Amino acid sequence: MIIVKLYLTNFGKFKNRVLDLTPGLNIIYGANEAGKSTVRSFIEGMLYGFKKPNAAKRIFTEEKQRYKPWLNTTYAGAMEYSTDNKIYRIERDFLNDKISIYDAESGNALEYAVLPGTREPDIITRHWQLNAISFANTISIDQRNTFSSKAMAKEVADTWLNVAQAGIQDVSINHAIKYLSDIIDTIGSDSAPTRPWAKAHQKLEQLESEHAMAEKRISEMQENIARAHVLRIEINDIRTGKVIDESQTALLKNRKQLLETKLKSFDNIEQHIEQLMSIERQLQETKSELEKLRPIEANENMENEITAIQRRRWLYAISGCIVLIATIKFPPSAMALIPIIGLTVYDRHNEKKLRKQIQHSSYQLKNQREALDKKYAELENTKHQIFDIIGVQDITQAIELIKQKDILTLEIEQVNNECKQVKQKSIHDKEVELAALEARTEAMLSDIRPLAAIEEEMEYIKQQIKDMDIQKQAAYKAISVIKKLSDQIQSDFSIYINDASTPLIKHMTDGRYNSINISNDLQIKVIDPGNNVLVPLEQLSTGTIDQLYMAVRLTIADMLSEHKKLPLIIDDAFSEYDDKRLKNAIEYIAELAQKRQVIFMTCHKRDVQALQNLNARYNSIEL
Amino acid sequence: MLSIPFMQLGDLHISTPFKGISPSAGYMRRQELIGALKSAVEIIKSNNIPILFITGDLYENNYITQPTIVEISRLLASIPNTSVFISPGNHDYIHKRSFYTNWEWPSNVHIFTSPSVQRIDLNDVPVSIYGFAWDKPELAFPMDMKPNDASRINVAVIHADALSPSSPYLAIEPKKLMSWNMDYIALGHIHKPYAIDIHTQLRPLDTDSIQASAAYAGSTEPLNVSEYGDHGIIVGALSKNHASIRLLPIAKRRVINIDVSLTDCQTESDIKEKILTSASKSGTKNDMYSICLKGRVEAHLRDSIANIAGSITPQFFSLSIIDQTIPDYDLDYIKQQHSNDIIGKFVEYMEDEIQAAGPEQQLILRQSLYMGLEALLTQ
Repeated sequence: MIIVKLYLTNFGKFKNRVLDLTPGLNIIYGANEAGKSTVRSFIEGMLYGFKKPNAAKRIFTEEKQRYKPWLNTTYAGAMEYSTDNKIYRIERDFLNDKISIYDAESGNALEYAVLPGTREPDIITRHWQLNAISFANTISIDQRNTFSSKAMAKEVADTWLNVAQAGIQDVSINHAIKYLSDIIDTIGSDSAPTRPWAKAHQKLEQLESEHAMAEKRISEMQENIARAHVLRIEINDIRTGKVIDESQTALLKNRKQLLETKLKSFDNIEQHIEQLMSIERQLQETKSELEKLRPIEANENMENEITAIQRRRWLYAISGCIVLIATIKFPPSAMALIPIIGLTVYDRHNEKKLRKQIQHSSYQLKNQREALDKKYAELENTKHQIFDIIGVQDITQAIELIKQKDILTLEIEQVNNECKQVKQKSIHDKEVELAALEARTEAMLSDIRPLAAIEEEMEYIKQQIKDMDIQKQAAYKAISVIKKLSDQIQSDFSIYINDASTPLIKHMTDGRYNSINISNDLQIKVIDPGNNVLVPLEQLSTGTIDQLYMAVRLTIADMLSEHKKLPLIIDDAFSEYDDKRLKNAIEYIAELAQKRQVIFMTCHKRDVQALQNLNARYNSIEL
Repeated sequence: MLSIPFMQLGDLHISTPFKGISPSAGYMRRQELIGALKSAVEIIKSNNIPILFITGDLYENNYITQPTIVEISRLLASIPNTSVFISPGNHDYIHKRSFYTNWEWPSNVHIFTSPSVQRIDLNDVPVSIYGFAWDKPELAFPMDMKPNDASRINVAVIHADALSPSSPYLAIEPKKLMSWNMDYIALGHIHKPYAIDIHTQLRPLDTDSIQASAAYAGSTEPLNVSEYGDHGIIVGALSKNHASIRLLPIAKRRVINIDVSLTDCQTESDIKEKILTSASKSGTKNDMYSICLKGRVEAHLRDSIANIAGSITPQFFSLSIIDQTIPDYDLDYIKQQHSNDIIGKFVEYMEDEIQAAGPEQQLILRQSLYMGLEALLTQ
């Protein structure tokens, strides 16, 4: 592969500049700011179009902007290269991202497939076998890739390691794994309490206990509400008398019932007693009537009258005798007998009448007495019947009953009062309980967030944790796959590097070392054939390391391009070198140029001088 | 013909937690559910609507607290001339400590608290309401009810699933519903407004008035990101054999689900602009957006999507962004370009694994792939 011609039509500071290049060594010399780096970038731009590789669509690198000419409206160039015995010409319009590829000899435009994403012709990548990254990291060397003395050995080793692991220098497995580990670290784990992972879990734990608390409270609230509802109904029922509170008044109720049953047995006692009283009254009356019956005045009077009549009869008899005697002496006096006889007859008649009356009155009295006696007996009988009914022996006992009943009634009244008090107390108690319940319900909800809000936050945190978990899992997976593939590639590639670099090492160290050893722990050493001792890379001379570095790059380029011997482009890479190191490097370049095209850009006369000292043949271009 | 105005609402899910929106938006949404009931009550007041059917899932048993019940109770008490019928559903089913049975509801509120069908007659109009209560969160039994007075307008108020025959939430096919010979069935459970018209055709219900035999009012306010479209209540008039109904979209906010492709976005402000423009085309800032970002985005730009989302979220009532963009890697191209190195091999390896994995694992593996690529390419 030879780059034949560069046409910098309008590129950076160049306008219509043509550079002819030859096989072998080409030196492009120019003072600082003359545009050496522009030339190298031009080659990269011509081949790859200043586009980010790997992207699925066109994204331009910042270089595109950097080399855009200030004054001109065009931004274009062309380049010819030969490969497989053919010369190809690329024409590119950077401004409009247009590209044409020709067969340079026939002038025929070539048909080509366009790569997806970058829209670049696949033919270029097919010819060069490198993508933009591997191009920049193998055959294009500039100051960015060279090193100051001290850190160089390590840098070379790293580069080499990466190459060994990944095939191109651009990929650092360690870097990639660190990148992924950083992702995992940033998320953190249970053992890193300040990182998002642990924080989220702590938060979730907090929320879970808050949730449990809220659930408990809600359950209690429901319990309270249900109880309060029952209380309200109970209070209402007690008030309206629908029910009395069983528990509170049960005893009283029993007692009242007992008393009331007892009272029922006294139900007609007043009536009975009243009856008894009236009977007693009647008895008394009857008795007094009976008593009244004995001394009857009329009879006595009649008896007295009879006695008077009998007494008067004697008087009449005596008077008669006297008259009779007198009549004897004086007969007219017999006249005096007439009134005496008259009076006597009258008395007789009266006596008879009185006796008849007395007889009649006695009969009447007897009848009356008999009736009264009968009534008395009947009353006595009724009285005893009532005594039997109410279960007493005598009237005193009956009166005692009344007293008992009064006491009972009083007691019932007391019980009733007590019941009323209990009812009021029961309502009061329930009202107090209700008020307490309501206050408690309000209080128990006041210091908790709504359960729904807690759940929303939990959901949010859970989602965060899930996302983090997926990220962690993904990172772990990526690490494990990269490690696995890297081990695989490393072992494949180590073998290749070892094989390919052995002749180089031999040559570069004049046979002092004859092979490189890359160990499993990625230590690079060279083997001293004299004693088979492994010598760490950094113990070699800087010149040797430079050469190794370039050798490795070329080895990789050769491997990737399947030994196409791609040109080596060196852009002012040796400016920091001391004379001895420079001499070695230049010698090595001259040697390389025997086998491939080398385009060496420098602003140092001493570089040119060094080449002249070697009597090397080269094509010189001054910018 | 006798025609009696009524309102139907259902599935308010008062006190529910909201998924997929921020906790602060969730808090506001819960207030707005009560607000929706308030709006419905205001409409009843200003139109003197005599009947309100609440078809279940009025609130959620697990989350409801006393203060909220007080609010609901007061609202319903403020329309004493309206008979309110509530048929508890699967989220507010009757249980031992249910508010439906442990609360003194206003006297104009009739709650069906028995799992068996009950009939309540209105006194001043010849309307009979049939309903029952769920007493557990899932129900499956051969539901049946028959009006026993054909001279009246017979209405069933139930919570059941007439859309999916295998639903554990009392699946009843529309034909079966029609076989009950009700004049109208107020249905609850399905959150999208649907009507079964007088030809037993199930169809979405919108603001156009139709003659229906049964209908779902849907959720009064949209409850999650899938409940897009109009939401609200049913207003209409009952008559013998059918009801004339229409949806009254009183929902305060709409759910807006959109896909936004970020493929052409080159900068952060491009992305921001694209999201904002797409959002304003579909709704207002008061709506609840669920925006799914799609397309290819350059890797470094993709990292800032979360920040961009964070910066514009405060402009919206609720905005959830689902980032389904994929990093702007052309895997085939990468494989081709890196056929010899670990990058190419990594892509191949991961692609093989993704191919073989189940969907859950694929999600992780795909992240692995892009994360690994990012790690390998960003050097």
